[in-house]
Amino acid sequence: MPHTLSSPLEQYQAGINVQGLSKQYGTVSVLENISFSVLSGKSLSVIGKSGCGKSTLLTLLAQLQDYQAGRIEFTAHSGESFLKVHKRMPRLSYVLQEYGLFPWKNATENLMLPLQLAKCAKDYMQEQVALMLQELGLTGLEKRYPQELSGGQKQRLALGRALISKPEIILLDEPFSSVDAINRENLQNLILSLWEKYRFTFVLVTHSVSEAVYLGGNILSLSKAGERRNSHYTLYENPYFAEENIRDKKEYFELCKIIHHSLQKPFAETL
Amino acid sequence: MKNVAYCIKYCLTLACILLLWHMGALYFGEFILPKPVHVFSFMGDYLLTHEFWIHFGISSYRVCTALAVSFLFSFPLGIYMGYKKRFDSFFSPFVFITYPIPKIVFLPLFFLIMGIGDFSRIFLIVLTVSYQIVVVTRASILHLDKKYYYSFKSLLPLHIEGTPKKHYRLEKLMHLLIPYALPSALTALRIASGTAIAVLFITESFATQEGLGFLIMDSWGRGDMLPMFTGILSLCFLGVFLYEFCNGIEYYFCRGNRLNAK
Repeated sequence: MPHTLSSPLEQYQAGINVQGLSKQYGTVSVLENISFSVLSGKSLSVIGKSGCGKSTLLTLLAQLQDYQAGRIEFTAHSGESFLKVHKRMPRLSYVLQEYGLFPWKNATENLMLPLQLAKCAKDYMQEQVALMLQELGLTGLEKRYPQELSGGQKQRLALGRALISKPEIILLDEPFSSVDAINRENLQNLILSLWEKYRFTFVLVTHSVSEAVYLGGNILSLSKAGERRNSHYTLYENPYFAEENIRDKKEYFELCKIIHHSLQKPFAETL
Repeated sequence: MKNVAYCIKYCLTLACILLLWHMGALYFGEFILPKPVHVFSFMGDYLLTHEFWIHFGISSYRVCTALAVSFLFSFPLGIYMGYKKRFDSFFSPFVFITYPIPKIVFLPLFFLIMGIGDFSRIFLIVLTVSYQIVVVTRASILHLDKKYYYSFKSLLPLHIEGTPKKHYRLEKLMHLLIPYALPSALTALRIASGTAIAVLFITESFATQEGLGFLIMDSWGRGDMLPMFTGILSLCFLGVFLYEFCNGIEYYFCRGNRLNAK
């Protein structure tokens, strides 16, 4: 039966709880005994050098790959009260590093696909696509194919495709790696404004320390498995997340410095 | 503007071929290679006859049917082989062992088994062309870019209770596998259209009195060069038409992929 989708605010929000997660490719260990949680409506930035397993972590959260050990749970909240561990998958969207837009579909068709897969009504789909195009400033580009869009426009389209199904959780894999500095800042602000509006939970993988601090309520700093003596990850809390003019504050720079320092030292002890 | 430039290039190439042909006719003499002007003059009259259109119609019917059947059979098969590992492990050795065998050598056998009507001729073309489409489509699916696969999988609404991933097979086929493999399959079909014309010519050279292949061989046997060249030119036009038709289908259905290639 065709139906419509409610937003997380209208329904309930989902958080993530990861316990002792380990992933190996053959004999190579990529993630070892990782534990963290993201409260519903909050965010987590994952930072680390290339090959430390950041993207693998996202694919595991998105249930795109199997893992050898550990547990991934999705928790549910309604308003202030904690409900229970999800018995079903939450509505989850994943924005891939290279956008993941289908080159054989134009902007409208790409945006519409998640709703088509959810078997939504045609009128609802058209209405939602028009709203999303407007919200992301892509009006007038409906018939363009991804290859006819700029890097920033592609990224906004990918974000729109992730948001249109009104997800409870969004996973973002280096979403701004292919855009210039100005567009990057605009897109970071766009994510924050969308987050303030929809209050989805999001996990962001990035190479940029400043981006991780700007967009992460918590910051998970990863190094390659086996590189450090104790654990190959460190979790930082970011009390300044989503504060106004955070980029001008001394504390923001200090947190950036601490995380940058920890990434520079492969054998650093966990803080 | 691009189309005009394309037409100009086409016309210039045609003019070069005609010039070379004319020079060849001057060198070899009219009996071996008639001048283009004489061939076109004869062709103009011959096009008005019922006989020409029977030959042309039969050949067109055979090759178009064969190409359509080949595509409709081998494109889904290629996708299935590329996608289902178990089926591929069973079926691909059969395909790759028989792929290098020239199918045309089975023409006498097919005539014996299926008779000398259209069926055996079309079957031989289908057999020759299908392999090329199956192999290319399978390879395309086997090399499906992981980012598109992950992207599609991540869009599945798994939050809806009781809907495991396998419920989205049809959607995966329609939104991912077919659009991904279609450009490669159409390129294979376009290349195979030339092979199809060559096989058509051979199959029409034996045991028939209809078709452009028959027209060419019969005229050649009688030493009547003008109808022979009319048949050759008609086969060339048919080949160019089929090639451009495949181009057109690709242009219409694979616009996004075409932009991607640029």
